[in-house]
Amino acid sequence: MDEIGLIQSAKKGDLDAFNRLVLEYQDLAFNVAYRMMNDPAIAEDITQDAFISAYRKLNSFRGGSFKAWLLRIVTNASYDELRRHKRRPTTSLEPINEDDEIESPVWLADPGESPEELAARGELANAIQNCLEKLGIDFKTVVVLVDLQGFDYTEAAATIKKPLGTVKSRLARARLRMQNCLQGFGELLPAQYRLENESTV
Amino acid sequence: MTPQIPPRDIKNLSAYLDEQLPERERKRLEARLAEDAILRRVLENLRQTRNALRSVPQVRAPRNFTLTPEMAGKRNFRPRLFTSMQLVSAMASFLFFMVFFGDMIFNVILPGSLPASQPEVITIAEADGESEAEGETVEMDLAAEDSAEESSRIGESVPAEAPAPLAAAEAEFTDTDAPETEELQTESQAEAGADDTTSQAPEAGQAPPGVISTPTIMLESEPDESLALSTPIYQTTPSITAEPELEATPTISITEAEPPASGKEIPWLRIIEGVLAFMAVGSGVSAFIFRRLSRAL
Repeated sequence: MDEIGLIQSAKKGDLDAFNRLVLEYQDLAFNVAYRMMNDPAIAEDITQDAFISAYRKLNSFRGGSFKAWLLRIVTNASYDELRRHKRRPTTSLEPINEDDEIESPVWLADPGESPEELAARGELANAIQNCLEKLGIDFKTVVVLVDLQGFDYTEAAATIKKPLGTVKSRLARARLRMQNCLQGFGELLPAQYRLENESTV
Repeated sequence: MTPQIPPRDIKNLSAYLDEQLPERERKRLEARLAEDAILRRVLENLRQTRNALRSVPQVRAPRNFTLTPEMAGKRNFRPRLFTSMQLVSAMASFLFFMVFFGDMIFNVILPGSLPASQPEVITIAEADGESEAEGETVEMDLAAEDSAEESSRIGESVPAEAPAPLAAAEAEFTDTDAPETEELQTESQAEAGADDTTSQAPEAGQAPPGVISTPTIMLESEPDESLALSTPIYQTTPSITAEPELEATPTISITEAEPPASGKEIPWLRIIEGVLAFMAVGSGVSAFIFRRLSRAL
């Protein structure tokens, strides 16, 4: 069944149809939440809550891109969680990445790579995640959607409910800040990703 | 040195990388890139940054996020149905027992007292209205007994013709074994007296209040005696068959015919009881089934 048919069935209360949509989009939703939050446990909670919320609000979906509509729920939930964390900052007692291989999502991806390549990609992923944390929420969202998840500008604009020009300007500024941030990691990054040791602004 | 580039150029370069720049702006930017080395370097750095970001591996979801009926809020329907069925069962049971015990009280415990009281009331009502003679004779008989001595004292208020029928009736009431000839005479006298008393009944009723009230009390409390008081009068008189006093007998038969009228209501009561019992049991079983189903899910 096509996506529109599944959505119509889910609107009529067919939970199985909605769960097929969940299986289709759960990786994307979890990735966005994980990149936004940098915490797999919180990302899990956000993703589950987002799907529950999406099912309950399904009648408010008036057509268009279901992916954009669903990820708007995920990003809004991430915004709420980030604001809550800002008000009440917490520190995890357990290491998330280096020493805890199971918790690190790096080890879940692309098993065909060599250990060196994997380590290099792991280093780069950690560096990018650190730089993402330094961005503001609005810039981070656009970078995650366009550069990390491969959305086009129109989908990103629909997801954050902003004009196309806003997406362009936010993305340009976010890339520039990421570039400046990643230059600080220098030799830690793989050779093909090393930037010239100059800032452009 | 850090090259200074306007934010507008950065925005255009970023959009140019993603092929999101309009055709005219794209050509203009390409012309500038051909001439400006700094602009080309900035563009290259942006491309590397974008490639670095796009090289970040996608993460698989650690588990499925499919929704269960409980998560979707679908389970709330059954407990509501289950509790409502329980409520219906309880209400039907209560109403059933109310109707059942009410029926028992009126049909099993009270039937001895209910038919006994009704006939007397009706016979008295009938006797007062239709056959005054019967009532007069009863009043006359009892009045003769009670006010035999008082009559001399109340002689002024009691009419002068009253003693004759009273005496005749008294003789009639006491001497039931007397010969027929005498009975006929006394009966004719009694009839004459009765006619007199009927004409003067209000006077007899007004004169001694206690005299009139006494027979009604006795009739209500002892119904058999009322029949015993009235029947001997008619049995001893041969003219009973033709006289209007016989109309007293149909009044008794009317009172006896009432039970079938009340019997028509019994099937309705049974039907109501049956429906309530069915509702109580049915809804109770349904509540049990829904409860088990809600636990299983």
